[in-house]
Amino acid sequence: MSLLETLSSEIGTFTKSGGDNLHDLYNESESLLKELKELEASLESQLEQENIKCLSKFTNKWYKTSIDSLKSYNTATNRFSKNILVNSKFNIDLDDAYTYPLLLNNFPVYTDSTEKDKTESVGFSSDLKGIKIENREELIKAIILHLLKIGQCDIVKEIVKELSLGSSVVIDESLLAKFEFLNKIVQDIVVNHDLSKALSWFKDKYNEKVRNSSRISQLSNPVPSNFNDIEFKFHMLEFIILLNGKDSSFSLNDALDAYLYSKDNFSRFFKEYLSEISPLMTLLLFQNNRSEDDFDLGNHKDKLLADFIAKMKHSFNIERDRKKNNASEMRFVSELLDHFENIHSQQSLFVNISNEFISEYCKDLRLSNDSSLFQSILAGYIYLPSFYKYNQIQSKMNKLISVSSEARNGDDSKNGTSTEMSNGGEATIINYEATFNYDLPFQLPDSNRFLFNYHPIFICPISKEQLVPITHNQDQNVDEEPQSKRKKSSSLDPAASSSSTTTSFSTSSSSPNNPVVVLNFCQHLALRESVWQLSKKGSDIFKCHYCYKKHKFSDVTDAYFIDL
Amino acid sequence: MSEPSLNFHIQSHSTQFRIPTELIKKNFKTIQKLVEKQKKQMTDDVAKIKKNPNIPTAMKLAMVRKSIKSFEGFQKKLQASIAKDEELRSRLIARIEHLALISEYCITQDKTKTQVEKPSQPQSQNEDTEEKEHSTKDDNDKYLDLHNPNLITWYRDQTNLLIIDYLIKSNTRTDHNIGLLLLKSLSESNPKYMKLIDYDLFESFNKVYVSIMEDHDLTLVIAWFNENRNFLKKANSNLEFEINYCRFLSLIEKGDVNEAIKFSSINLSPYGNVSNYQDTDRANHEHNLNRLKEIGGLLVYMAINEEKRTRNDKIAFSSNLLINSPRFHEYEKLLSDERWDSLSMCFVENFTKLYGISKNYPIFIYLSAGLASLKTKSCYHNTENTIFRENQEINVTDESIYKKDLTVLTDKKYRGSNQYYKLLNKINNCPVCSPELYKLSRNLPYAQLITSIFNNPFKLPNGNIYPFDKLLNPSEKYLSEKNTLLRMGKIKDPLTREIFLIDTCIRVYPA
Repeated sequence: MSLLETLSSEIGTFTKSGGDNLHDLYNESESLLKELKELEASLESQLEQENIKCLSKFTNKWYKTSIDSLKSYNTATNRFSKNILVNSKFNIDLDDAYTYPLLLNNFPVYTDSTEKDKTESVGFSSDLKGIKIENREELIKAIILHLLKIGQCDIVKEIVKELSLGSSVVIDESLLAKFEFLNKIVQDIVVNHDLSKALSWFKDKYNEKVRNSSRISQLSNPVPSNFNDIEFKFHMLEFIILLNGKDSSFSLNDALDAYLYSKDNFSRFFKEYLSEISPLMTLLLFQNNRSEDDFDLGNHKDKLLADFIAKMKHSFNIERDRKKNNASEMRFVSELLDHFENIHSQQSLFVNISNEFISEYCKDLRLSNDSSLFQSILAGYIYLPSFYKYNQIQSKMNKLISVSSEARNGDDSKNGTSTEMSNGGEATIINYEATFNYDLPFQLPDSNRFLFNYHPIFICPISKEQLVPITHNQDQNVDEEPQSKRKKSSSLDPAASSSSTTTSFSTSSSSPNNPVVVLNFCQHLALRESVWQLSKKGSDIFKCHYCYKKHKFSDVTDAYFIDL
Repeated sequence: MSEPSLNFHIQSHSTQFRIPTELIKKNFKTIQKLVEKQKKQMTDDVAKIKKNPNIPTAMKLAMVRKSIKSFEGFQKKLQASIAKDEELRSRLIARIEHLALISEYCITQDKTKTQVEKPSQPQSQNEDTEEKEHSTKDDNDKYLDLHNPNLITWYRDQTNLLIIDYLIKSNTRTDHNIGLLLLKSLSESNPKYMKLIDYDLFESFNKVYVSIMEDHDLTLVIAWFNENRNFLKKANSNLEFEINYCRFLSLIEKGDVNEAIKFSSINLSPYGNVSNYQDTDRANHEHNLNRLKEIGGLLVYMAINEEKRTRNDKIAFSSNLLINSPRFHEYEKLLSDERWDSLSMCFVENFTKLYGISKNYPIFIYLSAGLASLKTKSCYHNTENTIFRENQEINVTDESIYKKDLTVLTDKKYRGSNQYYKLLNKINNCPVCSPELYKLSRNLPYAQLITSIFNNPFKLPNGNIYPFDKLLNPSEKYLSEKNTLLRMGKIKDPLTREIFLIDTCIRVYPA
């Protein structure tokens, strides 16, 4: 049995026992109360007093059964505790996965004290306490932005109060209004299944785009906009909604509405989405237009139609599997085909499309397409198992070490990095800012990386180091002394420095002055530092790591990755 | 290292089941006590009637009526407790149902279907990972299919719950708790939320904390201590000492020295005796003993301080010596707010232990792992992606840069991502780059990535490498500048605006 099955069945038994036994307990008490009332009645009518003797019997019986019920519930509770709550198979201590603590307090922090600290330290604080208070502000800000993006505008006004009053940060008012508008659109989609606001927004944006491109400016460089795919989904969904009509009756009028809608709106998408649009158009046949007299005929027609639609779906799915592009749109259309008859019961479809709308809307506001906080936490959910596993292995290793050397046992309770951090004054300050040499000591699985391809990344095939783009050269003066910091960071992170191949290059690698280079004769890429090493500091001819073509150090040219 | 699996989600959500069960146990004890009390009451009543068989019926009737009344009262209380139990059980059920949802979002064993669902991955690699999965995972575990939009929506709910959890627990206000406000607001559209988080428990957790730290009020924490005395004793809690220690110091602060001394001899002195501790609890003894010694000295400090205040000029030489000693100043610290910190920490520790709540806010745990996993060396502090405006920063718009001499643009510095995103009018979707989270992730390590992420790199003669498809895709409008150039076999570097013959550009490898 899987964990989930075990857990469900245990919870089932446990809760049933609770319900049953407490129900019994209540009923038993109820019947004792009834006895008491009967006694009252009999006393009122001056009857025999025999009843009173019975009363103690009833009380005892009530007590006994009540206790039995309670006992049986208690047994169920204990069983549940034993099988699930204390069973290590069902338990992971989340704290054990907190390998790299954030510089944030794990208890409520008073904003008043923030005020004091703010005035004490100008700009970036360098002490831990100040950093933690600053970071809390940042987290609250991230939460605010998240809430705006998910449409919780009203609550934001309350949360803004959490930010310290003296801070110079203000929310852009015009953006706030725009988020309120977004919230209305999203509410309409999710609650009322009404796309009209969203569609008219798309229309405005489309017109804006047409207007802008008519006066071609040589200077500005508009990024090819991809409104199409999400807008396309909205049009398709609207078509299905119209087809459904007000009460999913699929009347002739509804079909007409849907048809007229498609005529007005689909043409723009025809070229790219013909294979998606056409199966949806056939659904026009599905209208429910039969009169009383040809009932049998209608029945027969329904059957033929159902048959036809099934076949059409099938052929569409074959098409879908064959085609590689427009995967998301294809998927959406096939979902529509599956559920076109009861589109309003597919709440998740509306929720998902509203999320896509939000991302479109944010893009238009020049903000990232999703809540950054959500994206990070999603990544947290996906990669947490790796962090947990690493920590488990580390703590086992630590145990082995501590058995052999009892001496440094002091920081046992703290987890790995916090001990690293308390290495003494100087090192502490440096570790507040990770250097480029501070890598995770383990690799993350690639299979779900597709969700997070935010930056083009180059990994040197020779040194396995990640390219550090020139960005940091002039932007961040904090990183200007990589040499001095590097030594410390590598000593702080034993796992990284002991990992085999990277160490040989770590003397000056991953410094910002290590650009990617192209080998001129074979067009293969590597980091300059790696090539420098290969060529024995420029003195030797070396072979390309891929194709063994010979190059001199002067035969390489710098290159820069730029994403579009 | 390991992939997100169904079982891991179940295991990491164990607190979700632990808390209601603990609350059920507590409520169960209340019911038990109710029943016992009522039983005693009933037997007493019955005995009273039986003892005097000859009392008049009217009196008997009165007695019976009294019993009925008391029993009805019991019944009402019982009903309330049962309703509470029901609510708690319904949380368990809602939570298992919520977890069971993701079992529908798992990667199916059927290979052909998996391939369909992962169209973006090359086939060979896909089969590779499939095989690995089969060999490493437990028999009954399933891996989650992150291509499923419903799973992503599930995580959206999870994220909101983490935020609520954080806001409730970290609240510092006494008027209202923002976390609860948010919960209420979110549950309007999704009533499930109310069952998925133990908001009431977290709220009282927060209330006790705030009452200690903000109001320096001990009533709530004492009540909590009494409620959970048994557990705390078993767990070798030092909470009682902390409470009494705070009470003592508060008495001193008030100037009620006699009362304080009386209080300490009854409530604090036993903590100095090692035999009052469990064998496993030596550390607490030592710690407490040291603090007891300190408060002995505190009385001396009080006396001298008093003297200093009243007769400013003529203090005995010995006292003066004392005042200027560093040791003396430590007593000032004793009367500072430190004791409240220490008490509240002790409370937090005990509370989290009792309910199996993680010591760190869960949102931190997920956020830290997530940020570290996403942190690349290409990340930069992207001040664009926010709605917060620092006091009027100077923004050089792309227009003004382009008005400069074109040679400026070939400057290397514009090829850094912090510059070219702006210049190319490109939106950076990376969460680590967002200004808020960038600051939070400053101390985190960089993710180790295995593969480069860049599609068909295509190098122009000036060294800029662009993704081939995006660079050369003709734009929608036939007459655009780009298309015209393309027809002439030329391409314009979108960043530097230089124009090159396509023949002089080359495809580079790998990536």
